[in-house]
Amino acid sequence: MRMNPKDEKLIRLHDDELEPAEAEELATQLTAVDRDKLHALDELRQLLRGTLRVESEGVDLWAGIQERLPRPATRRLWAPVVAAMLCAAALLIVLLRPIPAPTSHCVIESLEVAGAMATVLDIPDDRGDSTTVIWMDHEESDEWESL
Amino acid sequence: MKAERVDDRLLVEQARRGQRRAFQALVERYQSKVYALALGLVRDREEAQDLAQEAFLKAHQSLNRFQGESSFYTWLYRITVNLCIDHLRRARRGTGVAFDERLQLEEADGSAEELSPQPLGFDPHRALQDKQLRERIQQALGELSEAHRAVLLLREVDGLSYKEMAEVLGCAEGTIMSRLFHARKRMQQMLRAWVEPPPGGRSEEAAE
Repeated sequence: MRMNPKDEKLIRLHDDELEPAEAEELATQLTAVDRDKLHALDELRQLLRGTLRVESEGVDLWAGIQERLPRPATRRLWAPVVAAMLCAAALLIVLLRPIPAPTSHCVIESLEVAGAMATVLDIPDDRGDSTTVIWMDHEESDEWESL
Repeated sequence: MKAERVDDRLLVEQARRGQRRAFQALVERYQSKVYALALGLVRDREEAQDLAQEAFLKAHQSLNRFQGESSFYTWLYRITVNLCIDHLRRARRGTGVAFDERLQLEEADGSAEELSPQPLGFDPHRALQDKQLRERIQQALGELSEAHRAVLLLREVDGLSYKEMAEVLGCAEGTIMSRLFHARKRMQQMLRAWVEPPPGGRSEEAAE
């Protein structure tokens, strides 16, 4: 089914689909019947638009949509950010903590004894006493001898 | 509409970054039109409300896929129309009336190919106070095929251009024009039959 070419132009005029110059030209050539046709089209538009506007007045979809939206991304990011910060802090504590120096109070002295090198170690214990250990290093051998 | 489109893009961008207020602004801007479109298509308030909400939620889920090649509202209307048509097809399963069958019947009704030169004679402002007339208009809409209903609503209620309707419905502009012509003609015929009943009495609804 092919529509009347004049009607096609009228419809395009009604729908604001003609170029301005073309619309202006057509407007000057309208007959009384054409005007009635345009009026009938406009009437139908007003009825449809008005009916659905009345029916959709005051509709509020946001409340229902909001409930079903996923939680905002900013909140979801909060937990991993805090976790990462805690991990970084823990790593810093491990890396930067002071490393205690060796705490031995052992006194070491070296002596030269005939043909040997002696090392005297004075090792204090928990009770306040001390134990003295002398290590002899004979020149002839690499062995250590405990006295 | 152009300034609104720029503004829409900004809101879409903000909503994409998780700003709920931006998405709320988009919902508030288009909720009446999306609901009216859904109501015109499914003709049931509750179903229309559910489908309109569903359309916004689907749009929210797919914001990252929205390329901005078309405007936000044509994209949103496409989602709405698709959801409504799917819903109607599911609801109609078992009735045996196919989508295309009805469309073809309407377009091949053998009636004249000219526009009606006779207005119905309603004063639109007064007519809208008439609940019975609004119901009749809804009923007449319901008697159109989904394809005809969709073009009529997108043009007359949402004010989309032929090009935008072609994007929403995924067809050529020529098809849009043809469907629009037939849809308008059918609506005028049905409303005229109600206003000017055939000899022997007015239709049931009008007589009440």
